Amino acid sequence: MIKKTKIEVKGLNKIFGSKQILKNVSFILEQQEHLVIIGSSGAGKSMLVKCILGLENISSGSIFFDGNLISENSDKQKVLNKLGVCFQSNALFDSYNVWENIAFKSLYNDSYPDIFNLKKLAVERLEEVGLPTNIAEQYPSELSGGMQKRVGIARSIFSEPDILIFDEPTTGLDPIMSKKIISLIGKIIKNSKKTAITITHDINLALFLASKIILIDNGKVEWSGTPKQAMLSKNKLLKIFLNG
Amino acid sequence: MKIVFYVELVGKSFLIFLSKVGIFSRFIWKILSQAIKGPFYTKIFLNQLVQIGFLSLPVVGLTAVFTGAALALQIYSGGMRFNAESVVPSIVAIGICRELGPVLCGLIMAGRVASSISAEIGTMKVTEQIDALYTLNANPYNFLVIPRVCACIFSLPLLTLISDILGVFGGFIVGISTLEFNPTNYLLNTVKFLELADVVSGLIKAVFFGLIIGVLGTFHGLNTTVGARGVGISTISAVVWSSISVLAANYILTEALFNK
Repeated sequence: MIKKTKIEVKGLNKIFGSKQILKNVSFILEQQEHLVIIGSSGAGKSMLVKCILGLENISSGSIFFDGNLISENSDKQKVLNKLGVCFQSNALFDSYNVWENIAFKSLYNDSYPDIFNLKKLAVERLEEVGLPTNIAEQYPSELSGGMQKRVGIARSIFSEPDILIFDEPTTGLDPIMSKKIISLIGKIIKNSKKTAITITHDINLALFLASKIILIDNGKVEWSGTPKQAMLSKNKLLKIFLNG
Repeated sequence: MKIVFYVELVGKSFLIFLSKVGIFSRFIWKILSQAIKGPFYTKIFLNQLVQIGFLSLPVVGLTAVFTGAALALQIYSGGMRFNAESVVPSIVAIGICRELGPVLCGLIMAGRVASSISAEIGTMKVTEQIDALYTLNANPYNFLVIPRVCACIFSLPLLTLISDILGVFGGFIVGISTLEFNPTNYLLNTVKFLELADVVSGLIKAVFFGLIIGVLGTFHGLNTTVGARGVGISTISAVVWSSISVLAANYILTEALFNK
């Protein structure tokens, strides 16, 4: 099977005032690949994803989705409709309950949303991420950090997007919960055969989930390859990550 | 050396001022363009109408009653100096409807509403909820800004009208109890000198105050910088700038509506 290129980033630069956050970043993400971007805090990982999502304007370079160049004048919503994003801070809406958070995209974009059906679908997503269905009417503030993370994941997969993006999915969670979240993400991607990008500084997560790894340091792509190649690599920074 | 320092300081301040004007102009342009593009979230607008308008009724009402009562006492003591005690009902009514009703309502709403809008949106900004809105196909301008600005524009005139009625009522209570006015005469004098233009000019002011409060509350919220401190700063800025702008707009509108 010939794999289609889903996302291509070419020579991406992002400059804030006098500081260059991203320096000539390039990579290709093919269909059903799982790219894990690793790097230390402040390396530019989250900024790279914000640029891909169109939340930040790029200074130079180009981003292609399904072979189409994304520019400032492109229909960004059309691109965003293909993406499901799980944010580092979960970004759940405090004033909406769990099922409304999960079904938010349809609830507020469909002309005549079928509330009963949307709630049913949201509850199904809750089950998929291993949460009890009786929390559907609860508010995010009533849930634990791990549960909130799962609700965030449920929201990202609700509309069955082409590409899933997970920003630091294990940050702030205890080791047991981190393992559960990692295996949940792995299960979702394996079952749905989706293309995915995960940002993390957790090398174990990268080795477990990735089909391709990019190491970013100081805004530059320092190293890229498969998990197997990562284990054999002599790159100093990557070794520091691997040896903890 | 000192001259260069001061020239640099003035230049830098001017550039910062220009950049703020640019950011604000862009914000206004975004509101207008997104309002035309749509969608308009009616349910959120109605919810905000309750949050902003209905829930502000107690504080606005109490302020109006006490202000009307105090105004009646002050006008009586001032009027007594040249035997003009009888002007109390008409001056209270005109003063409340033309000036105190809309201005006090505007200032209270600047404190209560601009701060809450700014803090809410600011917290959403620092917890990535605004980014999440974008990725969930809900433009924050349509989802957060426009319903709140519209709710402020609709709420302020209604609250001002209620504030006018309660302010006059406060004056009436003091007039008939402490100042020993005849209730019928008090009401007749209130109605006799009060013109429709007095009430309408106050309501026109209120519409502009609503616009100012809504726009500045949402503007400062969306421009919140990182962290809890950023939310605090944007909330203070929203209250301070809304209050100053309401008072400045009051003078400009009073000039414009003067004698009308």
